[in-house]
Amino acid sequence: MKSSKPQRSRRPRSTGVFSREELDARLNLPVGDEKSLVITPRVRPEAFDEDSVDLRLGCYFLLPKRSQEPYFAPDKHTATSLHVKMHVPLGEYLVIPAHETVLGATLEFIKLPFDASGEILTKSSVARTFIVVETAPWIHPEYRGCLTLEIANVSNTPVLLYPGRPIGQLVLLKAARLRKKSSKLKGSYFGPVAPEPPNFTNPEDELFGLGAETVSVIRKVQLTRLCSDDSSCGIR
Amino acid sequence: MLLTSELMYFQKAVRVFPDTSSELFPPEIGFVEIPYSKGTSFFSNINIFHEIGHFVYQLFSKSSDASFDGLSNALEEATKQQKKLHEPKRERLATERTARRREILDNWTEEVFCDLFAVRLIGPAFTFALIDLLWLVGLMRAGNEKQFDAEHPPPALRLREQLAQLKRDGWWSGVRKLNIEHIQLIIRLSRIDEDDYVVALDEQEEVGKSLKSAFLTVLPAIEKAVQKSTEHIPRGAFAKEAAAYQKKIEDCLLNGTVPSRAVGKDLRPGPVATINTAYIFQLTKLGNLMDRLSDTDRNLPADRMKWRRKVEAWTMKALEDFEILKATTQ
Repeated sequence: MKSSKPQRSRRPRSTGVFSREELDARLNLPVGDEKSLVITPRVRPEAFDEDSVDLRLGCYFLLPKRSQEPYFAPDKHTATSLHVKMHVPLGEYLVIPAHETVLGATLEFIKLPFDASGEILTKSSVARTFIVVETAPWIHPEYRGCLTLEIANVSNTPVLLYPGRPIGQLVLLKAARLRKKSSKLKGSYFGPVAPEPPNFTNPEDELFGLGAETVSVIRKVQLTRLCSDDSSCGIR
Repeated sequence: MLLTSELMYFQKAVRVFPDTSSELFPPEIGFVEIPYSKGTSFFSNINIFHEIGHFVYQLFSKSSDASFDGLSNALEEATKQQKKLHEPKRERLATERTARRREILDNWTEEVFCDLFAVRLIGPAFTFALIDLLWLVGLMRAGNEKQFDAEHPPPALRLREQLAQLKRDGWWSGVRKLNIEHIQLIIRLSRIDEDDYVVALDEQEEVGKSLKSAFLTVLPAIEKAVQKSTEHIPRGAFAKEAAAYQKKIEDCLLNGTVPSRAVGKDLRPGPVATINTAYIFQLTKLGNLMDRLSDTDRNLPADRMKWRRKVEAWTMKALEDFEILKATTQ
């Protein structure tokens, strides 16, 4: 006889923040274990809090270019045209002018377990100087790499950033996995050791697929030089 | 380092550069030119160790360092023999011809010295990088591999001498079983008989042959000079360290992780062990890593290049991390 109770799907396991003991246990698993956590170079014991671990600022940055174009259009061209790479060695500093932004990365390379998501938060002492490091703080299970930080100085004063100093806090949360673990790892944004520029497709590639019949785009504009006497002093 | 169309080394006295403070620079500055195509490849740039060898060779030979006495004497003896054989008469042109032959012997000697110096410093990673470079510039073609020119001994002889050095330094037993073309090539070329080496010079054939024979007598002295100039590197130490860490470093790379994770509490592999293990991983197991990733095909050259670059980036990151770990544990 069939039960009258409605069929229930499998419940996700309860989620929660990893404690220090759990972080320690995961860090000590072999690297090939799907439940292992990697944070390298190894951090000092004082970097751990009860439910988080401090991460430090790395030495590589992507500084925004001053473009001749009067706009920013996210397209395929962006990855190579937006930024200039810069290395700031340990012991030196980078000045972030007031209201400016820069892409940085954590000094630590991390690997998340298959059953945990992560979140990177600005360290509170850093946040109180009005430096914000996270606008896309979520980290997916199995992610590997140094975390790209979208660093913004939202204060009215230039601020010095020293590579090697703590800048963020990593918090791990248990992720309920209803589906079986994928046998392959995603290759995009995999294993960066320095900040990565955004990866866009051209807008038409996505919008035609949504049913748009036309897509307005701006490609590289021609800079026009006007002369005061209205003569043809040239279009470049 | 200068990015140019070829790999070469040259050296200039610091005084030729205006506004250069002699307090900041050594009396001589070495320049390494690197092909554009290789400028960003970490593993290929291991060839720079050979170029550093030129700096050391010129430094030692110019300063008449005692470490080079044996080599200088061997070269001197070889030159005398050449003169005796081919220039019995005293005349101005004979002196010039002898000087030219001495220059050729010096060139060949310096090249082999630099090869062995690089192998002492960085192990088989240099030999692999050199083979890649020689392939790239076409010197590994059948016609070229046995040929001496005015600047270089043949690749076959260079690889034979490197193989001997790899054996002396304890590397060979660890790498000989690797299923890669590089190893097969080293074995095949090192078996070529010395009599089959060809000398491609403007000189008469018999002069070329005797120069080759004279040079072969200098080889033991080159080995000794290399050993003396790298005495600080204990024989076999790097190979032993690489073998001890190989599994841990490979596990890290296979799992897409920077190999600085491979450390024990106070242990860490040195740069030579890390670089060699990572290079061998890239040559032998890159496909295994790629098979674990979606949207990646191990048979596509563009994909292989992308993941080779990743392995290189993880290796370089590990080297930086080890420096930080060294400073924080001291």
